[in-house]
Amino acid sequence: MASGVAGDPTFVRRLKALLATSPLHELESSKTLREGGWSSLDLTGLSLVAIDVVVDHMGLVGSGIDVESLTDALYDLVASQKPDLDRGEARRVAGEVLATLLNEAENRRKFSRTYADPGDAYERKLHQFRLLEERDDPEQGVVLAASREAVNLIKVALDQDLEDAQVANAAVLRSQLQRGRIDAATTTAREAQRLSNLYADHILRVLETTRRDCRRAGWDGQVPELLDDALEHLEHRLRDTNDLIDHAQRHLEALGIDQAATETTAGHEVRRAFELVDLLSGCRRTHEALHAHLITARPVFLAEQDRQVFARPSVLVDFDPWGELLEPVLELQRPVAERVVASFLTAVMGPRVPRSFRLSGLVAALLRPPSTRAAELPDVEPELVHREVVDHKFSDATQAAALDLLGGVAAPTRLSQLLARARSYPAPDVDHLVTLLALRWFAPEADKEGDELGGFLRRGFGAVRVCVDDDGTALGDPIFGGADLLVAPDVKVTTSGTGRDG
Amino acid sequence: MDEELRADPATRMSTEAERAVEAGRLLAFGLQPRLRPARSEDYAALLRRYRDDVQLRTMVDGVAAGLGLAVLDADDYGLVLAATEESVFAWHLDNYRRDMGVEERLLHGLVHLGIAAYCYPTAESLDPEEERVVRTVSAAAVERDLRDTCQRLEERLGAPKTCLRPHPSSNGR
Repeated sequence: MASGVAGDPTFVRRLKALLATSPLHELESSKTLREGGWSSLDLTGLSLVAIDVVVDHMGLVGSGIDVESLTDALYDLVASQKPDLDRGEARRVAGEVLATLLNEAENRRKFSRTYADPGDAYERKLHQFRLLEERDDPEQGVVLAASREAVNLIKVALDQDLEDAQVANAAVLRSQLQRGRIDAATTTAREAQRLSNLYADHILRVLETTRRDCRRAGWDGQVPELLDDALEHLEHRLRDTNDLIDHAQRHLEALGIDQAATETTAGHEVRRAFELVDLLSGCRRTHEALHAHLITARPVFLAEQDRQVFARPSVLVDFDPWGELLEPVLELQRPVAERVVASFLTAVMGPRVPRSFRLSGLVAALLRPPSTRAAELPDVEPELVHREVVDHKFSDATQAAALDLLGGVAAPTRLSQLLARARSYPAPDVDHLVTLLALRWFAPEADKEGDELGGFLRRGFGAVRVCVDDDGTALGDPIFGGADLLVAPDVKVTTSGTGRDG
Repeated sequence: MDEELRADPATRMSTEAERAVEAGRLLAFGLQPRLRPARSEDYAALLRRYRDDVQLRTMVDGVAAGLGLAVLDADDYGLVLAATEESVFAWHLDNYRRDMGVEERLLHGLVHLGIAAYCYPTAESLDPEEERVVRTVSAAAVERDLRDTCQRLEERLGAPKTCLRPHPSSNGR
């Protein structure tokens, strides 16, 4: 490294900005190891676009974007990069990009990269950062937001102040407009919109932090100064943006076409110019809204300072919950551990409102059988006795025979005839099973929970479709008595028997 | 408002009584932890008043302290309350799953502690700067880390009396 590096304060900042891109390169280089045609995809580009999409949803419009919307947006991008990619595979790519940006591999902890600090005798140091992070927004729920490091990735120049980036962006835009490079100017304007969103997000977060803790937000000088600077910066931005809009509109007029004519001419340059004006107007709206917000910020500060100075100081935690609380508790003897766990839970569970007595619930409460508490039961293993499990009364052969017999019923047949046929099968008790089934089909309303025959029927005889009717003829059988039922193939005719078999 | 109070004792009575009613209503909102001010205009208005009106704040904090409650925060998530162990609102370990034995309940308590420590493992993770970052846990990850820790402690201490012993089916992970 050059000898001047140690004295260059931007060196470490630039180094860190570069390190923050490493997860993207790692994702890109890992794609050759994957199957499913990922090699032609540009995963670095996808990651960058993902951050762009997130930033588009930050600032005054909200805290960020929900996971589903981002996944959908990424999915569309993957599909347009490689239209022949299988839908499931495209979803997987989108999921992988998202997982990388969230550092899912390390349980969403911060990324950690080491570097040698030239200002500190090249000591190895850790640079920890996030790219996307989840924020809990009281209105939107859980959303994804871009971190400071991710924001650097969307700016063309790495690690530059947002304000500087905005000024530079405006200068570039002006130059592009003067030279009539509308295409390039549109791209720059899109970046300008993102920068405005990020700037709004930055300011809103400072205000939010202040609302929570004015001391930490630096009430003693820094924040009011920051607000003044922000107001001044915004006024400049507004003036610049208005200039640029005028310029772009003059350019449109020079093209000699009004908006109505666009549809017919559909000239590329004209459409671009209109898009440019739209983008710049969007920027102006963001600036104006933020400006209005800042004007009211000062009274908020004063009110918050009053409130917080009299509030009790927040408890500062100076221990590692895992190493210095959980592990020691796990080492404790049971009664002591229980005391610690009990007070921990009381503290974190929040208040529990005691349930009050309600007359309307009294009867139900009195009728409810007392619940057996596990704690009161003796802690004894019950002695289990091995029992012969009787699965079915009828053997498989018997069931197969009955199925065969009943499945073969093509025309209305008397139970007596079926019994005669049943007795010709070598398997035992086929006649018994056929009788039971006929009765069951005759009176299906007896089918109730816990009834083994019903379940058995559904399992084994679901394929057999017959209907059973009783025409009053008596069954003359040596074993079974009652009506000689008629068994017929089911033709969706409602059975209308009223008689009962014995 | 002070002028007004001194001028007419009847006004003072009514404002004090009104403030007490407001304090009670705000505490009642706070005792419903799932309720968000964003969903109740009344709640949001009371919270704003709590932040701006020192007298109301003093009364809410005082009544809360008497009930054994501490006001931790008053923000977009509502009035965040915590009960002391003596409070009637305190949550106790024996309120937890009455169908469980003492030991099982303790294990559940340790798992709760484990989940909290997993989400906020270090003092740095409890830094208020990080408070808006959502912590995500999966049962498998917590279980893995807890078992690892328990096994390490078991190896070191030898007698696993209060430790969560690795389940035989989990290959000692």
